[in-house]
Amino acid sequence: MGKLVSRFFNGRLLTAVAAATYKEWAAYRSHILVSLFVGPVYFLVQYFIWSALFQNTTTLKGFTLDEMLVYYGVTTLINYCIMDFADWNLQMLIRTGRFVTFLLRPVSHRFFALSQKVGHRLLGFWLEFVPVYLIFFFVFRLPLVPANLFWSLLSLVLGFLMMFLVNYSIGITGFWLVRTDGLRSFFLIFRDVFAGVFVPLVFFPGWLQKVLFFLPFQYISYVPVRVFSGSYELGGITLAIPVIVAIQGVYVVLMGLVSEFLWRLGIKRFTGVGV
Amino acid sequence: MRRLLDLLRLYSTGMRIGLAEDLAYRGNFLIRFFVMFLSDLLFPLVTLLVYRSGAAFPGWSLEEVLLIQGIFMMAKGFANLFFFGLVWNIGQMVRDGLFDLMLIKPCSVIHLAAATSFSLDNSGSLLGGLGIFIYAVSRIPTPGPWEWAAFFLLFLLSLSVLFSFSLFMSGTLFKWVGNSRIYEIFNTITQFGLFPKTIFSRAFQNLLTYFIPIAMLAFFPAAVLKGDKPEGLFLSGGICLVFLFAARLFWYAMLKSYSSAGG
Repeated sequence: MGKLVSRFFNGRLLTAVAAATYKEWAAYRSHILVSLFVGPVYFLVQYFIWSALFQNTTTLKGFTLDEMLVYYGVTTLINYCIMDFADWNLQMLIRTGRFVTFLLRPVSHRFFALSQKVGHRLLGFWLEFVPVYLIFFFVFRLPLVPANLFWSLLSLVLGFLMMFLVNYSIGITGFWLVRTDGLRSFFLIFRDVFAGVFVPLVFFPGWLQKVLFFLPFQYISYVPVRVFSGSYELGGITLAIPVIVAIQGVYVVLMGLVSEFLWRLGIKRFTGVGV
Repeated sequence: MRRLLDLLRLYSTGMRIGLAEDLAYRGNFLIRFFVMFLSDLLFPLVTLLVYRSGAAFPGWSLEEVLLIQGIFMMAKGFANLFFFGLVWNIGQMVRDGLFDLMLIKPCSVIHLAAATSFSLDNSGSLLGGLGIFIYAVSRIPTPGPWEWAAFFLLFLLSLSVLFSFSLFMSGTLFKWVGNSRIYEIFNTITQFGLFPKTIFSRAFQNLLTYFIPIAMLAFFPAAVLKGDKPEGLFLSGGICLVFLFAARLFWYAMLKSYSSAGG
């Protein structure tokens, strides 16, 4: 059992790689600080759009104007916590042949990439999440207080893992395709639309909402946002917060298995061309 | 005249090379074409979903909003196809230290960077926009010849605004080396252009009309096509030219600060 756990989790590796990535990206602070402009301006556009749309109505698909603004505010903040580019990184390593160096190391590349994400997002937490949260809270006066801190944090962590596993699985396609930019962009759009980043999923047609319930994408962003606001509903299915978080946990495990399966298929195709 | 012919030759060579590069990875090219097509349909999709839920922008029907978004997509698609790639090109060359090679070529650096950035996969965006545009135009009262003439003129101004943005962005990259998030800043600012100007506060309407002419990207061309005479149209047209002039000045001023610090 201990061996199995150590195969998937290595505390020392996590700390070392996360610290190195944190320092590496701290050199590109201005790159990350762009979010201080992008996040609030994006929110401002949403503010105008939804204020205009709510002029003749008080609720839309069960959302009031304030709830809708909180939805977009929390979506923006959650994205700062879970964002990653494991897909780009992995396909780049495969394409250039630099992936060979990882095969020679006694560590799982997936865990290495996850540790990198932890370091990168820790930096993002201070440089993106905290300042933008304060802007939303004090400038836009958004009541960004979670309905239940424990479930919100747990759902956020699961969303973090789900985002990583989905992206990493997309990156694995690099074993089959030389250039994956097109496929990656396709999946990323698909992922964001069906994760509820652009519009709450309850705006989709009923049949599609039911399909979306069974896909992994809603567990990346939509579920953490709904858990934050304390109620969950999709496709006519209303669930208590602990239940939806438990389902989110199950989906993370399933996605981990999918990623492992794809990995085992893909690694057999790696030739190291480009080294 | 000779300068114009040289430019045409430069662009046609750039297009040939771009096409050959695209076709070297045909599978990826086809997917990217499809992705560009799909990704730009995102905002119309959101608009459709919102209007289907019963909500609407006051005074704007679904087709009228789609008209704005279709024009926005066409302008961006055209820009991406023919000149917007210069931002990426210059940014990458400055980062790699290859920009010096551009400076010793016997032609305009801006045009050279634009011509060599041609990529046909960006035409997906143009086609998507054209599709939305045709759909929306067929569902509004038929525009007369004057409306069409005004529309084409304003569409040219819309392209000039995008060209100005590409100069501001690429000029910034001489100093802010390798920052790919400049696109995110651009996309965020221009998001205001995807919706009717009238939904924004008065201060923002003035900002988008007289300072950064984002309203010209799609709102003004769409408004004249549906027969409106929107406030601030003529002044905004002049502002677009000033914006272009300022962008060119900015670009050359930033070029002076290029330090050739790359590889």
